[in-house]
Amino acid sequence: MSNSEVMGIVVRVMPSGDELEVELPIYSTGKEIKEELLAAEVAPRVDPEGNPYVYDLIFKRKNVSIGDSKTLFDLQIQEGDTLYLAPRLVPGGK
Amino acid sequence: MGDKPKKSQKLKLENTGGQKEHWDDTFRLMSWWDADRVKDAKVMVVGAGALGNEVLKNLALMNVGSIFIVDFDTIEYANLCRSVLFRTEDINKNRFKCEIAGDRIKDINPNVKVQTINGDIMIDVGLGVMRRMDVIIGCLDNRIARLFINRYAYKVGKVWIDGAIENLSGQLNVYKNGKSCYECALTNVDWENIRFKMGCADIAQRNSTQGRVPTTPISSSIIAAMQVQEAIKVIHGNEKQSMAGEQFKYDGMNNWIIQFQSEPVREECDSHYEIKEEELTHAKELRSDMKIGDCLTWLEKHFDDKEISIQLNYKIILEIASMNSEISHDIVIPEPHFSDHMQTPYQKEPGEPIGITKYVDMIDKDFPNLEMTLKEVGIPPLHILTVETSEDTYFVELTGDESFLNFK
Repeated sequence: MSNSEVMGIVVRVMPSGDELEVELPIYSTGKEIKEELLAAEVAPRVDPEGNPYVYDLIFKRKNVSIGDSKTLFDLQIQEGDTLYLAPRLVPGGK
Repeated sequence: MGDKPKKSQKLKLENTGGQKEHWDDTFRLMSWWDADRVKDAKVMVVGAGALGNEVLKNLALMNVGSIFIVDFDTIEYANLCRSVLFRTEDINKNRFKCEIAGDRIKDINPNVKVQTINGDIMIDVGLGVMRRMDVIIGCLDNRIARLFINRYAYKVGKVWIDGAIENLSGQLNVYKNGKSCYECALTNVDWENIRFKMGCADIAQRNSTQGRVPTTPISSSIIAAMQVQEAIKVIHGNEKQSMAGEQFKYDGMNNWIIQFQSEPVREECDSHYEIKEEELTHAKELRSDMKIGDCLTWLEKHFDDKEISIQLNYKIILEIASMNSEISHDIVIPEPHFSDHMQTPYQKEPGEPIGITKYVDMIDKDFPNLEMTLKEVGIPPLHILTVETSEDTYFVELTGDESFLNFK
């Protein structure tokens, strides 16, 4: 596969429930994908109090989080697979 | 889970069955349930907010014998909609969340014994207290407290179960040494937030939430139930079915549930040091209410070394200055206790910033006031001191405080 190859995957965004069909280069890293999704404003960067959200990008079929440096290729993610973009929650309900 | 009941245990049940009911009789119908283990268990719950309320309620209902509650807050009206243990009449009482929550779970199940600390997990709970727990449950609102629990739990080799909620969502992480680590998974963004909050001298500011992040009793009851479920597994020694090393995320609005592997633990991490039993000195002669000078003298004799220092993971402020009027004051206050309220007397004008101009992060013979007690400089009862000598580092527990742990 060449670096320019892309594949279509589904990204489900927590908690908005949005389901996005996105085309991603197979060698894009978890960090790059998250950054692109956040740049496209599919999810907020900060919570209502201004504290930053950190997101996990989760490949549910294999029950793993795509680490910042891992690529779709590394995790053998295939055309049509589903990823979840989910915030790491902080509050415990004061 | 667990061993099959032995015949003698079964006999015991039959003997008492006709005359006296057990609180957990219905749980005893579960083959894996070990009533004695649960009754003898000690569980620390850090945070008595929405999640903490639900966790405490469930622990009491499950007949967990001893519960240690840590929280620094008082009850506000806004807490009531998601706090099953609090009532309208609790507002503006001169009592803390941990105390009222403790009373209420004893109302639910009088078998439960409770001890509370109104304080900050970062500084007010001795490591020796944590060492005596079976499991620690985090019901927290911020990254700093999680970071400190993680470091402390790692040091004393305890599993800690972290929950978080927002809106109709929630998550659960079970941290166990070697399998998963909160600090290992922190990103640069997390660290920036931690450093920013650590800059707040005031406990309330460090732990502050402005109430703008929505949380519900629905997500708190779901996640808290799972936290207690995991705690019960830890109490039973059930490692096989534990969620340690995995994360759970729940999104109630979309009915999505994800369970996935935690990020691998890193080789280098500040959290990763577990004090082995053989490394620990149980010093029955040492207590937190003893004078610093007496403690140092004991340590000198014990280690036969004149170069003794007690290392701290916080600063003791020795001098402050009002920044506008440029007047300096000598004080001795542990920084985590230097609240906004304590700064007021040193402000020449209201709101004048106060700067720290001198501090130490260890105690030795040069400490300015050796007559002060360890407790007065922020060392809590049953703490495990990190002691440096001229040759090595040692861990010394203030075992003289053993009676401090007193569940009632």
